[in-house]
Amino acid sequence: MSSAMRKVSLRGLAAHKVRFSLTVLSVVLGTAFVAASFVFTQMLGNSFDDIVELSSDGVAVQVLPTEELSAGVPLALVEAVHDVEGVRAVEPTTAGALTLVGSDGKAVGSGGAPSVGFGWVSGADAVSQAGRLTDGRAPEAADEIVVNASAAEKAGLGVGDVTQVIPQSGSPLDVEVVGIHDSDVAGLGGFIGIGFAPERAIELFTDGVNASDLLVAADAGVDEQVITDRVAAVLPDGMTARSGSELREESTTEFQTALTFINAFLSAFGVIALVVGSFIIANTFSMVVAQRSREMALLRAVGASRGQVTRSVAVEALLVGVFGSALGLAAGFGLSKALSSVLSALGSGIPISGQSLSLQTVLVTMGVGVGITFLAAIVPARRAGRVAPVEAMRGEFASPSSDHTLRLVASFFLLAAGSFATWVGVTSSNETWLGAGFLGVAATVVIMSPILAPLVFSVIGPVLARPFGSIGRMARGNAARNPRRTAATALALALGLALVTVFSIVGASAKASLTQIANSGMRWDFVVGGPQGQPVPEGVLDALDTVQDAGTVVAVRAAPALVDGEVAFGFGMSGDVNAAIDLDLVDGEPDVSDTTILLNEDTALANGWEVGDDITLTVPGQAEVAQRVAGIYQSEYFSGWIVSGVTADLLVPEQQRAVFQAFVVGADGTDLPQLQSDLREAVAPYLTTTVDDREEFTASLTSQVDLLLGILYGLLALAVVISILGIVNTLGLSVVERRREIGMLRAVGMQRSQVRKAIYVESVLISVYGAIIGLGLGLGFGYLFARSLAEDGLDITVVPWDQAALFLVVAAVVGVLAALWPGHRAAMTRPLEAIAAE
Amino acid sequence: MTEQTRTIDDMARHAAGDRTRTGPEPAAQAVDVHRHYGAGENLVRALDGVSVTFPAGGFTAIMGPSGSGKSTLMHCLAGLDRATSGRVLIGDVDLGALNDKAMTRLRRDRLGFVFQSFNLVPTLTAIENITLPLDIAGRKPDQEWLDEVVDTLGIRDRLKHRPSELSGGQQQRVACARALASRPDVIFGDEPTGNLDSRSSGEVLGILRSSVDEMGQTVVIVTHDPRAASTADRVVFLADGRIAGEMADPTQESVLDAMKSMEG
Repeated sequence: MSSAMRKVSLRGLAAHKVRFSLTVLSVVLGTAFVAASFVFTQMLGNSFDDIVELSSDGVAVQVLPTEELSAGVPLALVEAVHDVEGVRAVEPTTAGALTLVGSDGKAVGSGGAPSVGFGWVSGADAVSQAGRLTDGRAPEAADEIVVNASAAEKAGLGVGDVTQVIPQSGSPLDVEVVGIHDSDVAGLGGFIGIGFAPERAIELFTDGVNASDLLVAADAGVDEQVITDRVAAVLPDGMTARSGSELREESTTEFQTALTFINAFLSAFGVIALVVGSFIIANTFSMVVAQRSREMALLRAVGASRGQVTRSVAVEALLVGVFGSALGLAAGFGLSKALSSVLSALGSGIPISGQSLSLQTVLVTMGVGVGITFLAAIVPARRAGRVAPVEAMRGEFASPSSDHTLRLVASFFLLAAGSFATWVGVTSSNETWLGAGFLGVAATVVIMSPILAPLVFSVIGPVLARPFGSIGRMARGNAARNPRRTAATALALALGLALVTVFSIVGASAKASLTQIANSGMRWDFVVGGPQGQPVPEGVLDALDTVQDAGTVVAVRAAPALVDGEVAFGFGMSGDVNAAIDLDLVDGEPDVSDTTILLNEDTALANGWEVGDDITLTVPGQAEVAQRVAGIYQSEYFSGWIVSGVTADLLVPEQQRAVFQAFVVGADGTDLPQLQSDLREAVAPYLTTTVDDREEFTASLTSQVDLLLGILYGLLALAVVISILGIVNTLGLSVVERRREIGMLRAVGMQRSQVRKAIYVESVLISVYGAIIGLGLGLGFGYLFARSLAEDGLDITVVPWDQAALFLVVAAVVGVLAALWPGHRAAMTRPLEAIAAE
Repeated sequence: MTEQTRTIDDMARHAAGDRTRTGPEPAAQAVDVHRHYGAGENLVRALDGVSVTFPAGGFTAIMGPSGSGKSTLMHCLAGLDRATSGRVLIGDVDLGALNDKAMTRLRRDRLGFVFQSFNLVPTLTAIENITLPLDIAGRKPDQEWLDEVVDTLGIRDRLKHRPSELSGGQQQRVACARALASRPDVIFGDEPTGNLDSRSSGEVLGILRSSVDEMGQTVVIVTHDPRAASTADRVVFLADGRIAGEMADPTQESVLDAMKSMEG
């Protein structure tokens, strides 16, 4: 490329700063998403590494039971393992969930991160050498604790302070903080780690006989595999030893599986943002090229080759791409940071730490950004190169003629493929096929849009533009003037809105279904539960018993067991089950006693069990309980089975017992509001325990859907912002293009306000067109998605028409907002520009 | 015409001093008009003290060499540009007293325009273009008058066409129809035949001529074409921003001679 051509390109960029900025902005927004998804995933990875590190630091061998659900590893084994040659230290894992009470008397929230108590071991006896006391001393007496620094700060506690902790397994305990330790998990902002004296931890978090596992540290220089084999040799039947590497590997694999999902989710948004962004980039460049066609023709006329002209556009695109992607990288970094603070503020419990920018992130972001920008520009650039010099110099801005044949053929095949995939998806309730169908149909709409746009305008145009008379007529004409451009501009908005609509339908359906599930069979008046579905401390049950008018209390516990060697989950319920819930029985009697079991219909079918059968629930090393099937019920809420509370206690080792909920039925004639406040008072010492009536319970269930929807909407809002900028961009460039026409209109008597109004109406037409396309796609596929999820519990399909209407209104508002600046520029056009010579 | 417009006209009349006149009122008038561009050493005096009157019902052509200020004069007369000093009157309204909104309304309601090119809105049909100034004023066109204009200009069978489907001459006839449709006080033409072949430009000049003769219109055009100028009742010559002469009942030859003498 010659320096003269380069000069033309660079001066072109410099001369159109606004245009340049808008183009760069669309690249920035697109790439920011990609960068954010990479940075975010990496941050997650870093903190997971931290967690793995913390939980398995210094571990050479882990001793654990061979079978799942068993009581654990006998504490008696500690000594035997310690005696193995080369073993430096052995620590039984004695940890359990608890709530820390802050200096203000309120529970300290962990924001979804673990809040645990454990045995504090330090020095030579400790397996991990990572945790150190930064202040005070180690706990010795039963009422002494050490707190991690970040939790202590959040709780407002220091050495010497007296407070309370509420272990899952019991009642509030008075404790004194004697030390502060530094075992913080980086990024796990809310993490609360309370260290007790080892013996006290055994009391609090185990049955006194078993620990969940033993962690073994080796002497320096002893090979990990050698020591693992030696430890394994001393273990009794039912216990196994695995090396620390194996433990770390398993933890890492588990975390990575979780990461894959989050990464895919974020990348999907990145792709959406990029697709939307690339519409705008492509649109911008094709307009820029159209406007520059005279300049290019002049260059051709004075001897520039077609290749040189094309290259000059390509260079401009590369500059925009590189500049925009670099900014996008920085923006993505900030976005991931913002996302992580939002998530931790919402208490998602997703650990995030160590922002780092890897080479991979940089390469992918830059590659994608520059690549898409380049592709978006090269097509119009080649078109510009083909224009004969004389033709271009003579003509007004020639809008590219479009041949619909190719469009129709391509969209026919895409529509056929999309419809087929949709059909397969619908008939087999397969979301992947449906997704493919959505893509196919969306692509068809994209291709058909230049043909669709005039059709839609001829319908919505008269309605929307009529009140504005001739101004409206003019706006309609302008919107339809270049269908390809209008279509591409509107599609960015359409795509964003389509996805929002799909999510809003699925979300509304999920909420309605949840409400129905929660409401079905409710006989109870109140439900007592922990925060975010966590179990309530055992002591809560005793507290409930002290409330006079609490007629019936039904505690719901976990009652898992092995069925055919696989872990299956069920519920244990103490008290008068039938008073609290109305089980929808399909067979037998709703009789829950210590010798009978009720089966969920699905479980019964899967195992071929019938009423009257005797079945055995097995927990290795713990219990084998024979139960007779009394009845079979239908429920989305209580899967597996229901046994009595006594049976549940037989199945679950003491330290693993947990009460999920307790249902309370008021005695006859009870003043319910009074009862609720009595119950609340009774559980008040447990701080985080809630007492909800049915409505509150339903709201707490659906609030989780709202939370998820909120995050999704937040991400999609960015796609909508990009599309607004796209409209601003297109209109801004159109105004420049129509400068002379606007000048002429001003000359023959059009007021500035009328010029502005015409641009607003045009913009609203474009955005409403986008909204109609987006809502059409979104409503159709949202409905199909929700239907296909029916088998996964989305029983009710709800189409939130009010939201759809709202989106339409929002689109119109977006249209006006996007037109403010272009409208202003247009209104400032001087009438003389119409008659001024070139 | 709305109440408001009338009020503004009254205000303008008041601003103009509301002098009582004798004889036929001029349709447009420039009184010692200066129009300067730039400042200091770069000061350009596009108009340097021009006083000229355009009587109602007359057809005047403004001529002059490139840079003589003829276009600037017309722009100032037509409310497209503002005089640096001096007074410009349309009827008895002093344009200097009008803000942008009132000026725009005056152009819309009392003036007609025919430009050299880019006269029509490409997205509107011929008839929509013709009624455009009336439409944006929110006024109903006088159907009888509109029919007369359309038939006189011979564009009835083209009314539903878009500008891109019309020839250059047809487009300019539509532009003339638009200028005539609202029965303006003055029609201004900026090189109205500049882009046309000789047959089309003859037609357009014929239309303007007959609008004066038969409809009593006032027409002012800027041109460098002696043939166009010869259609007018009177030619005003401009040179270096000043009035350089005037000629009544011009012919092509007399205009050519005058131009030559000015350049020579």
